[in-house]
Amino acid sequence: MLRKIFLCLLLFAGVVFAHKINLFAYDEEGEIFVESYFSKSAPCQNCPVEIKDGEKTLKLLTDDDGKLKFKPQNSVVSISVDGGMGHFKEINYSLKSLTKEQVLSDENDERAAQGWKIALSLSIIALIALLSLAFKRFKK
Amino acid sequence: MHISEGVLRPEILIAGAAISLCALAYSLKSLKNDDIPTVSAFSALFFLASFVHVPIGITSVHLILSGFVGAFLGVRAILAIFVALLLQALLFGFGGLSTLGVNLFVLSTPALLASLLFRIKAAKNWQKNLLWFGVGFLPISLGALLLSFVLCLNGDNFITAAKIAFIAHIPVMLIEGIITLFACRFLLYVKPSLFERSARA
Repeated sequence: MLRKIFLCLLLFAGVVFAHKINLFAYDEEGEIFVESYFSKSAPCQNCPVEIKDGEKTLKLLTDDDGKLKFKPQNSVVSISVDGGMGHFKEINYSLKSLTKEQVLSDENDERAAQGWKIALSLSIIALIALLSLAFKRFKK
Repeated sequence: MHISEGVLRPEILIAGAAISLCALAYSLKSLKNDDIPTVSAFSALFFLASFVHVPIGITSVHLILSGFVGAFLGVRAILAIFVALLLQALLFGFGGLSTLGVNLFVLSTPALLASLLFRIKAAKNWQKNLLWFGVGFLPISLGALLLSFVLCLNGDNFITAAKIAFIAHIPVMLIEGIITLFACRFLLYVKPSLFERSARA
C-alpha cells in the first residue's frame, strides 16, 4: 500500500503547481509586458507591482490575467510584484533583452527545473528513509 | 504558512529553534523501525501539499495537510514535517533555514492537536465525519493563530500582517477539513490498519 502511495505521489509530482510567485518580462515596440503568476492556472490577479524607472517609481496593479504593460523612460528598470503572504519577487529588466518567445522558453525551462527538483526532493525523502532503516538495523 | 527569512527578530528565531529542536529530538527518539516508511510517505505528502494551489477569488491558497499528517503520525509528525520543510527551504526557498525552527513549531504543534482529536471515539457515522472534518479544520485554525501570534510578537508593525495571515487561512481551514474528511474515509476503506497504528502513536 505504501509503495502505491509513493507511486501516486511521484505521478502527482508532475502536475503540482508552484508555491512561489513567478515574474517574467519582455518588451515589444518600446513597451514592457509583465506577467506574474503562482501557477499557470493561478495568475497573480490585481497584485501590486512597483516599477523603478530611473528616479521615477510607478505603482501599478496586474490585471485579471496577472499581466500589465507600461512604457519605460529608461533602458533598465526594476520590477517587483507582491503577491501577499510573503510571496514577493523582484527582477531587473533591460530593454530589448528579451522577446516573448524567449520568455515562454524561460517559463518552460523553469517549470521543467521545478519538476526535477520535486522529483529530487521525493528521492531524498526515500533515501533518508532507507538510510534510517539501515542505520536502525545496523544498531541492532 | 511559511515565514520567510529576514522577517522575524533573532530572539523569536532562537526560541523557535530551541523548542523545535527539543520536539524533534523527542520525535526521533520515539521513532521505531516499522514507522519509518509511513513517516517518509507522509513527509512526501506534506512536502507536495504546499505545491497544490487552489484558486479562490482573486488569489490562491495552497494546501498544508498538517492535520492529516498529525492524525496518522502523532508525535512522529514533527520529524515528517521537519524533513519536508528542510527540503522546501533548501531547494525551493519556501521559508528559510533561519526560520525553520519557527515554521516547524507553527506547523507541527497543530499536527499534535490533530493526533489528539483523532483518538476521540466516534460511534455514529456523522460523528466520525464531523471529527475527521475537525482533524483537518482545527489544526489549520491553530496554525494560523500561532502564525499570527508569532508575527504579533515580532512588533506592532506586524499586527496588520498577522490579521491578514489569519483571514487568508480561513478558506484553507474549510478546504483542508473537507479533504481530510474524504482522505480519512478513503484510508479507512483501503488501509484500516493505519487507523490502528495512529491510535498507538
